[in-house]
Amino acid sequence: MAAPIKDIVIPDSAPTSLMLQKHADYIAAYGNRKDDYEYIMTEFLRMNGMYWGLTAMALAGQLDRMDKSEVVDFIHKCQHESGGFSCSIGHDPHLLSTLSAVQILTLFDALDSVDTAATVKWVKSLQQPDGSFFGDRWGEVDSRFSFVAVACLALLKSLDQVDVDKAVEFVLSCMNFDGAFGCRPGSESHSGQVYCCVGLLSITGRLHHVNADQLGWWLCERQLPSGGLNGRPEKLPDVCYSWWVLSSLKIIDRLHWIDKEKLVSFILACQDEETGGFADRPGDMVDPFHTVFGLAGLSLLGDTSVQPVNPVFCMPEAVIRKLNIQLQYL
Amino acid sequence: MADARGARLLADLDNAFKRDPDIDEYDMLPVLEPKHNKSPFILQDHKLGVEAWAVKILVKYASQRLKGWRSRQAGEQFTDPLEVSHLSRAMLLFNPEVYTAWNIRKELVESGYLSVTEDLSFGALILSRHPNSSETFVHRRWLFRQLLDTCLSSNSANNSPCTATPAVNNGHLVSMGINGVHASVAPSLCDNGTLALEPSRLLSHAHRELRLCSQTAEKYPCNYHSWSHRVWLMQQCFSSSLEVLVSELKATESWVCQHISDHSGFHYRQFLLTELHQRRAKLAMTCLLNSTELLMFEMSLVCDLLHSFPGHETLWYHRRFLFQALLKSDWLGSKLQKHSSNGHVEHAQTKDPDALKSFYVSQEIENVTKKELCNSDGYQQVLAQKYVHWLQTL
Amino acid sequence: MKLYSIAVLLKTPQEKGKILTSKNELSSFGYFQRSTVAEFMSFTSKILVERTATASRASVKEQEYICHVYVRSDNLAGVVIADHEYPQRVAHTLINKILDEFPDKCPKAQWSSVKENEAPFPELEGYLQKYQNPREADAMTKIQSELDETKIILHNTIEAVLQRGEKLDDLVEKSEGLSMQSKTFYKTAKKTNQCCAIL
Repeated sequence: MAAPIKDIVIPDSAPTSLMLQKHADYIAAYGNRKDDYEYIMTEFLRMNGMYWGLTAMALAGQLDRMDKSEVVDFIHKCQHESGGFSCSIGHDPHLLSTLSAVQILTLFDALDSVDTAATVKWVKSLQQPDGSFFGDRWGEVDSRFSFVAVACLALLKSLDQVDVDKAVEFVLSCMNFDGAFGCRPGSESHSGQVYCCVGLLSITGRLHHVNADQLGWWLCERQLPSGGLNGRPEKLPDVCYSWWVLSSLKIIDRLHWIDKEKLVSFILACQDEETGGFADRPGDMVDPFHTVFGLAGLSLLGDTSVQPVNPVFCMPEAVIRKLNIQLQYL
Repeated sequence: MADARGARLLADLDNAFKRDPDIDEYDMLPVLEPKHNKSPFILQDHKLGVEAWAVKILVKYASQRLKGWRSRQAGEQFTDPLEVSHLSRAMLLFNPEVYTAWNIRKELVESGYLSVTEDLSFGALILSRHPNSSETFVHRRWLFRQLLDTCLSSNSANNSPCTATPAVNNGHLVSMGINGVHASVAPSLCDNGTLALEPSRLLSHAHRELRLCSQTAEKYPCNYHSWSHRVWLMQQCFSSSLEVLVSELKATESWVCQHISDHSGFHYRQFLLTELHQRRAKLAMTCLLNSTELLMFEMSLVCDLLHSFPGHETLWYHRRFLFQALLKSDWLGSKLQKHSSNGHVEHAQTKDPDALKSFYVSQEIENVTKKELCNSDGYQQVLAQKYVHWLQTL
Repeated sequence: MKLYSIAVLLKTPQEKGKILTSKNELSSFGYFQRSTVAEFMSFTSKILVERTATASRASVKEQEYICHVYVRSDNLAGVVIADHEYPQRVAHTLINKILDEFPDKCPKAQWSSVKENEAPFPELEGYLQKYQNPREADAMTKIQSELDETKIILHNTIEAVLQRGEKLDDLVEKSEGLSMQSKTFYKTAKKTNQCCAIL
């Protein structure tokens, strides 16, 4: 017995079957507590949070329970003159909340309720000579922003507005010797960043730059004895990596390299039987973030009670099909 | 009612910072209900404690005021920058991911109401409680870009040549940083008569920032934001100067030996070794160091750690990096020479680098099989097996 | 890797854990949290000694910590609290060493009469510091081979050590060694997981 492995043990009492209706009820009720301290504390993530919640509802096949006009009205109010969207009213525009806004409007087929031309112009204005993207006017660079910008433009059918070759070049400069990607050139590999970079290469049709066996191997090594996936070596497993790792594996056609059965039982164990929703690990507090990625992960793993999910956009496959967006898969 | 209490608590918080401008740590105290006649703020030994119930009111108040002001709602007319700064401070102390509040502070810096130095100290305080706050590091990089820009403009005002990466690109400036900035920077007169102290100011801030990164890495294991910030500092503020790269390599050695499961720390050393290897000719000339030897030294370090601390994926990953880096280095070439003079390697192999490579890969596989696969149990064996599999894909 | 606490305890005839002496290294914790952390270290050490059978060893995971415990056949017990990186073998070797030396400083006859946490053993502080770096400290111990690691029982949580029907929450609530502040802290520290909001 050497060092104990950094992992969890699934308790015997943990859930073993999907409680889809409970999750939908949990999400539907989530926005009712607007005065809570917790709600205020998470306002900087509101637009992302709405995207997570609404996508979870769509994957559960219950999007019609949500108040479309209230959502669209809120998003409209979050659009700034520049064309970008903020996380909430009274906050500043940022690429991260802009993709979420565009994804929600796509989900509701309501893109015409905002000024998408201004959005395209704003996203374009954030690209730098080296191909990278600023997250907003203050100049932070991250490979996540590259994905977000490109995904946003793809949904808006305006990918030709930016220098795609340069964008790809920058993302490739974030690749490490292990075949995985970091946030900037020289930074450590991280599953979340891998998803972003692989997603960008799929949208732009440049997946041939990836060493699929090498990257696939690194991604598969995220699986721990409990069945759960972590994001980096010697970190605890977390349901959200069921998405970041799994979707990347799906895109590069290496999904069959992991132990699906064990991962399914890990994800199911992260459900809260009483409240509904998923937590990062069994027994922790649930939130919409882990709920959508739990459901999306199960969908990729073939659970047919959840709607099929698109691995690049984390949206219902049917929505992406309808838009006829070309994506590359290996 | 809530507003009046919020305003009063905000004033109390400001008073605490006035009473002790050197607060270096703060925390939320687990007191859920107000106690009669007792202040929710405790100030001891430069540490500030705020009772939980007061934090909730304070954050709610600051959030409403800032949002109202940001969206220019009717009735929110205040223009006092000091108040805006205090509201953003109250907000960020307990919710440092609110990027809009950081943006507000950026505007205060731009308009001269806050200094870069002041805001760097404020961010350092936040990191004492939230050592992996992503937005706090994002804001700090912006502050450093301000310093870099000032450097650039002071340099061009001084008519000194400026290259693509501003100001500190020339080696001598950076090496002054190592020897102690204050002692060795001779201030020169700009055209307008002001002193060009900006580069030295940037360097002393950047060196302090490296120490801050060590603190945040210590407080929060596998701190992605802290270590990628450190990489950024090396690239942007030190322009990957060889001297600083070498001193960083020395400085982090004992750290990784005490944090053998912190992959972020080991990755930082991979970054340093890669940078050094890319400029090996200059490294040999100016620092009298051989980059291949650095890699080999690191390999013996990690093998030693693997022996002392079995069962850590981080160490095995580091070994992977080192082995592939050695394969790509002139290590093979030197081995080739040595072996051919000793007559150890078959004649055909000395001629064919691919054959030599597979020779060393199989030798490494043999090493691992003998040492770790046969003589260990449990997870160490699993990890050794994975390493062997990885070697086979090379 | 970090070593947070070393404690020498007596398992009393009533099966209670009594701390004879202990030392903590809590500089990595926040200033306002240190007293609470210290209380919980003592609380945990006692619970583990009470629920570990005489003449047996265990290592118990609890979140980021691992508590190593050994109750000797004479009911003298040692608890070392460290992080996950700290090698189990070194932790148990350290316990052996300390339990071997302790009776020289504080003879068995005094164990039941000495006041809680006041047994004389000034060397403990030195061990806590020296063993922060196990590679240096380990080389000095010659007894490492005496330890049979396969006999150490591994538990994945403190809950797993508790007797049937016992709940950690109740034990915390009932504890006399924990202050009000510490109890409140325990209740409010239900893990919130905002760790990984990447998008």
